[in-house]
Amino acid sequence: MDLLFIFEWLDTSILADMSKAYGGVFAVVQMVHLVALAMLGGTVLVSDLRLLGVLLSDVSSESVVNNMDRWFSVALIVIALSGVFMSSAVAIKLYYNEMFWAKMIGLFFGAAFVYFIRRPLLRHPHDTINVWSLRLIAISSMIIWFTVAASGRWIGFS
Amino acid sequence: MNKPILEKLAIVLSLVVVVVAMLFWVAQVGDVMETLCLAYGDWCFTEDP
Repeated sequence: MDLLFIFEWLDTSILADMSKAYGGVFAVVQMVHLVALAMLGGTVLVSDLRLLGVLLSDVSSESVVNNMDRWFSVALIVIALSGVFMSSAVAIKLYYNEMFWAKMIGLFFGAAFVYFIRRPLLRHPHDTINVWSLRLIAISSMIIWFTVAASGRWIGFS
Repeated sequence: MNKPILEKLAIVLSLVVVVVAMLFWVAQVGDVMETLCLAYGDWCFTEDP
């Protein structure tokens, strides 16, 4: 499916006009995007390292995961909204950028993994879940979000 | 979905993620090194032993 028309529309939208005309606005939105990415990374690390038993072992993993899940969703929404604004400035360039697509695939797969597999499974008491499921979920979650963040950084290099 | 199915799905998808991510980054390693080199210095082009 060719998605070029979406990027062409974005490139001529009012968002693109704003992001291209006002460098200051773009910079502030970029800062918000990066802060949200750091927040998302923090929630992923805290909850996954707790599942692996590396940190906060004196607090129940259910409590840690539930608290982090809330902030994860907030960070993901902020990342998505600020990301659309930022991408409007260079929409056509991004369409032809391999790393952008690597990031998008990672982002969509990661979000689907969190909301359709990880959360429904972790709603059960953790001590009733196969320990290897918990460990693999934690490891793959960190790998997915590292790939999203690193390929996002890579867009800036390419 | 019930728990045993979710557990199996989690294990299978997690293993897929680990393998795909490893292949992806191994395939990128040349570009990664070259780009880091260009961005942060010319250390990877040095011919010193």
